[in-house]
Amino acid sequence: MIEAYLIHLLILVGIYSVLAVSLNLALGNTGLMNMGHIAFFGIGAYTSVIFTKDLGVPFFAAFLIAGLLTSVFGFILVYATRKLRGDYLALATLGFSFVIYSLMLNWSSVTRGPLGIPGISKPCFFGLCIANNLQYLIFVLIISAISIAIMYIIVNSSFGKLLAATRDDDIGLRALGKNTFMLKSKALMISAFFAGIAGSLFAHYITYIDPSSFMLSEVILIFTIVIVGGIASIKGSIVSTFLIILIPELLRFLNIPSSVLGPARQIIYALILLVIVLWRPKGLFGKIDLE
Amino acid sequence: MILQITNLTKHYGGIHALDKCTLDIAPKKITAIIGPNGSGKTTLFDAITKLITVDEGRVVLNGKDITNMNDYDIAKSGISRTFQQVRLFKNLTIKEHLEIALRVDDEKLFKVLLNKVFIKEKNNTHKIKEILALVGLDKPLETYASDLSYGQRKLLDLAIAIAKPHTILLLDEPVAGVNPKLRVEIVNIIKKLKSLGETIVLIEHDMNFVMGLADTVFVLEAGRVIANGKPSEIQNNKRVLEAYLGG
Repeated sequence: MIEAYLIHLLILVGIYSVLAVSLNLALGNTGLMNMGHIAFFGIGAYTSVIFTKDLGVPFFAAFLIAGLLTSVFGFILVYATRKLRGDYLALATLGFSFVIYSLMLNWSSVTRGPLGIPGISKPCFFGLCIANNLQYLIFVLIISAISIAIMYIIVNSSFGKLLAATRDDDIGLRALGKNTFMLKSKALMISAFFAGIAGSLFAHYITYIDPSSFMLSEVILIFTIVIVGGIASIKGSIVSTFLIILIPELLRFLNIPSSVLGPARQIIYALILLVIVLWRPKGLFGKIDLE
Repeated sequence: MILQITNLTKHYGGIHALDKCTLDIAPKKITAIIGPNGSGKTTLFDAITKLITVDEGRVVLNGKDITNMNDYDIAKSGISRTFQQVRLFKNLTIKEHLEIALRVDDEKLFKVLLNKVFIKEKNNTHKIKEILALVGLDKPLETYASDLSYGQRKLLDLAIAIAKPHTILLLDEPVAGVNPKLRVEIVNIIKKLKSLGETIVLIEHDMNFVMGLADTVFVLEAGRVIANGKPSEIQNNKRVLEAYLGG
């Protein structure tokens, strides 16, 4: 019993690690205050499910389509907000997440609206089907490791240094002949791609999705993970995902009514965020101040 | 002429930041643009490098009209500049700054990744050390820009402008706010750059500073060139003295 519970938590840690590291690539490494990251997660989840369930596309193809289509949404978002900075960018991207949420809720012919989509199959590929959660955990860990390794290589390459320079001084970098709009576009498209495949992993694990999985409260969760771990720190995001996913789970052992459990989790996230912002603005492993 | 600026005009409401500003820059010389505060010197640099869009006028670099190009394309076409308030990347090291300036194809993600994974990335350390020696910035390569003093940041700003492939260097008040010792060092660096065949345009409001340094001087007042010539000619120009002394 406890084994199944631990496997469940580790699967969530794997999925949320990819989500957090991909947000950190845009927010921490490039300085794009993207509050719409949860929308990318949702687009990936819905795309993967609609392609496999309604269109009969094999899982792996749908999984990649989910990433690629989310990436296109990433470009649309960065293009639409190309003249915005700081707080204005944060507000506009938050607006984007509300627009996507409304689409999920109201485009009933495709998303089934608030009823959600049940009965999502576990992935099958190359003639093999995932039969239990242990196998799904192994699958998630492989995909997470590959995804995080790719993002690690990107942020530590000369391209990644350009992203950091964009974050630090956009005008200074343009004076060196670099097209910072294209750099930001590529960064947000990569970030969205990995959020999209995390969404696909989430949907095929939970086997039921509805718009409530992609609401504002989830934005707070992934921002908490990134800020606690440290801005622009991949290691920080991974460690922080463990902490932020596992700490609220301790509430389950306190015999608290289930109606209180949800709000209590949100309170814990908010408190952790507050403590970190006030006393350790660089997070656990970050080198860059939260500004 | 390497850089031709014709009738550049920029108005902010009723204020003429640049007013039919016309000047030609000769190659391999030091050209100084001087003028009292608010005369449009930095606006001129910003207009050349497209940090601001002009109302009218043309900028031609090496025979190519760059007036309507993007700021980063203008930089790529051969204009390197420094800023009065240095613009560095505070979370990057000295080495990373110079690598960004030296590399020309690091925006191509797939090429960068292929090089990173399968081929060793080009090592520019020798070139970087050469440039740092030229500007006299004697700090470990892994020092972060945020850990440098004001004077050292000025030198790093100059180093990255030199490192970026260019045909002309625009230096915006290179000695503003630095101590007298560093001021002399920067003058020597500029002279050394000229001896290496660089074309340099520098902005300065202190007339005495440019007299022993520049080959040609242009004087701006209210966004318009009111005089130009050799430093000795400018020094005794009545209109220039009036502009400076308010006479």
